[in-house]
Amino acid sequence: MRADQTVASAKPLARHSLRWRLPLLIETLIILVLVAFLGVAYREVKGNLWQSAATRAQAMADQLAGLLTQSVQQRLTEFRRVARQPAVRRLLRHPSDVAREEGQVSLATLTGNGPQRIDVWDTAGQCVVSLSLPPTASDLLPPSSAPSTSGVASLQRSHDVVFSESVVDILPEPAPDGRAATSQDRLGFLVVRRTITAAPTADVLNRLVGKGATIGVGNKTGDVWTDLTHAIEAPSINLGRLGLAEYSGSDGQRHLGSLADIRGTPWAVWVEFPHGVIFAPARAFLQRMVLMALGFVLVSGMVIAVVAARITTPLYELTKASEAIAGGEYSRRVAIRRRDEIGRLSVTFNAMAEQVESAQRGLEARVRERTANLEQAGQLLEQHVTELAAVNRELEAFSYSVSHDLRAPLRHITGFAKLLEQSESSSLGTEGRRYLTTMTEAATRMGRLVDDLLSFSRVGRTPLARAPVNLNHLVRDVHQEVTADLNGREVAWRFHDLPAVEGDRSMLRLVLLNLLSNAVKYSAGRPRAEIEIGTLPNGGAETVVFVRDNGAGFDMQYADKLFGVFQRLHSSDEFEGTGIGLANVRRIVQRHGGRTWADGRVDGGATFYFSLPNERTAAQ
Amino acid sequence: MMAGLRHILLAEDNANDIELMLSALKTNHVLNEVVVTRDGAETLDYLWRRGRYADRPLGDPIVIFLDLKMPKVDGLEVLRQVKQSPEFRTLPVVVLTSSREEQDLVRSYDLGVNGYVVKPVDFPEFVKAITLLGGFWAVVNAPPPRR
Repeated sequence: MRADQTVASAKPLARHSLRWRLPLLIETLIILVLVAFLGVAYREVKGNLWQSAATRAQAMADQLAGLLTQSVQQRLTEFRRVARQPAVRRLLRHPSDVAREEGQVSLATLTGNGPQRIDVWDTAGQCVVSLSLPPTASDLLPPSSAPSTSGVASLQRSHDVVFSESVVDILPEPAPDGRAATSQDRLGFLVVRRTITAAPTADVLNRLVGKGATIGVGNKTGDVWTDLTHAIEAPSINLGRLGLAEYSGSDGQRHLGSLADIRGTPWAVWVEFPHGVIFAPARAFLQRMVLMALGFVLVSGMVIAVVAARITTPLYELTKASEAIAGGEYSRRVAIRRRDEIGRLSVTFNAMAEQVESAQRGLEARVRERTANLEQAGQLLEQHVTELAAVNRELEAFSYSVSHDLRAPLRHITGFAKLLEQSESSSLGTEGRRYLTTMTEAATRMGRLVDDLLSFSRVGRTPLARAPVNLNHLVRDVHQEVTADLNGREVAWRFHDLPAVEGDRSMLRLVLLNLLSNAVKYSAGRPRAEIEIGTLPNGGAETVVFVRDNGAGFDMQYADKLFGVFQRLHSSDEFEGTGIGLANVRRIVQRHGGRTWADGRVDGGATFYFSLPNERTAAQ
Repeated sequence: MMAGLRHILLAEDNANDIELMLSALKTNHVLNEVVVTRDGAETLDYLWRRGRYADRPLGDPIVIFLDLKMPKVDGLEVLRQVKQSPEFRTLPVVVLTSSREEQDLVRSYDLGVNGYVVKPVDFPEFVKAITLLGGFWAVVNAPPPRR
């Protein structure tokens, strides 16, 4: 029994034990704090990285725009210088083979980093001379159409080659008065087209912006763009707005960049960083931090486990000890290892266990004592029962002896009185015969008294045989017996319906027999006797039966005496009887747990009542 | 004594009762001889021809009138032995007693009694009862055949 209890309680203990829950709780809290901290730090770092990338992109875009603007201006200056060469003017004024050759020599002084093509057009829209450097460049750069104005044109593209086109006016010499010639005076146009994609400057510029950044140069209209190596798509941003912008690339990544204007051209420069590049340090930071956090969680978990064990182990021992005591092992104690609160708890626990044990011992002793007392009481009771049975047997023997021994002498008295009367009738006088008759009557009466006394004793002694009893049947039965002795008297009977009750049938029959024969007896003086039997409307815990007659009645002053043994309110001369009938009625009804009472008036009839409980609560 | 009439055995310890009984029988002209035994032991000795009855001349009684309260062996024991014996179990036995104790009534019938009479206190009643008894058992009733 005890072992079962321990096994049964050990299972839930493992799940709900403080031993596991306390460290787990602390560890969970630590992890939550770390995760929150890492989340905030990561966001912060990312924000900073974005900011610095934006700053960098803007600075670089502005710087590159400046460089490119400068470079374009330098080249225009150079083109104008060549356009002022006498050989070039001559070429337009007097185009001849000689002039062409001289002009080509002058034009060839224009050196560039990559392939270029130089064309000279007259104002009539005729290409006067065309020069490709190196000669293969003509394949890369297709012939252009006749120019109409000077300046830097939009970038153009041929296959994978992107090139620029610059147009300068070829002006006549300044007038003698020093007035500079204007574009209205132009002799023709010098058109220089240079590839950008093949320019070695790309390397230089890429190095300048650094790793991870991407450069794009193109028209602000968005049609032709290059990364200075190949033709590319323009970035999907609003090219009309300079400054910072972000977009999602075809690779699914976000890109952050800055757009700057190249002054004097329809071009813009774009420097961008993909988010992957921008936030790479943040991810690295996160990785390092997560590793550190894991290490911290591991170490702190071990420390917490050790510390928690120091607190919970004594508690666990206390719990086990409490369970042992609850299971009946009252001598169980816990070891005291510390002097803090837990140590004091252990001390208190041991003191309490001591008290429980001594109380238990006291209780057991008391139980033993009580059991002994109870056994003693039981023996005493048994003794009493035995004694009572002995008394009962004695009583039986007494009544047997009374019935037998008292009746015999009475019989002898009447018998011998009769014999005397018969044998000596002649010598006895009238007086003597009256004496003998009186003697006989007295003895006979005493015999009846003895019989009644014995029947009363039997009514008290015989055990009740309880069963459901139909009172209607019983009344009919008794009525038949009573009417047999009416001797022609007229009696008006009224029977009401009676309920079924529970009781001893033959005893209840005796009750009804007594009441009905009394009613008949005491209404003898009436010319027409009326007897009524019924129940009172008392639908509660008991059934009340009444027997009413219109006979001699009685004085209510003596109502209490009616039910006494041998108590009579009328003389034997008026109504014969010994006075045992109603005593028997009361005794039987009382043994059924009921009551008896009567109502009456001298010469006004009498009503006798008896009640029977409806539930089986009656005492035996 | 008339020849051929079988006798009545009266087992009764009280002399007064014996006298009243005999008187009542005589009054009613029951002519059978009445043999009286004064206690249960004597009654049994008489029936089984033991002791002083070892050589009693008469045959067996036609009926036994048996009192219950008797010295030495009581009436119920006599009844038991008679009704359980092979030789007398058919012999009619009528209990004559002063008491109407139910236990006696029940036990007597259990043992196979042929009649149970409570002697009335009133003498004329008593005589009437004895007249009926004597008339029936000694005259009217056909006894079992002699052994």
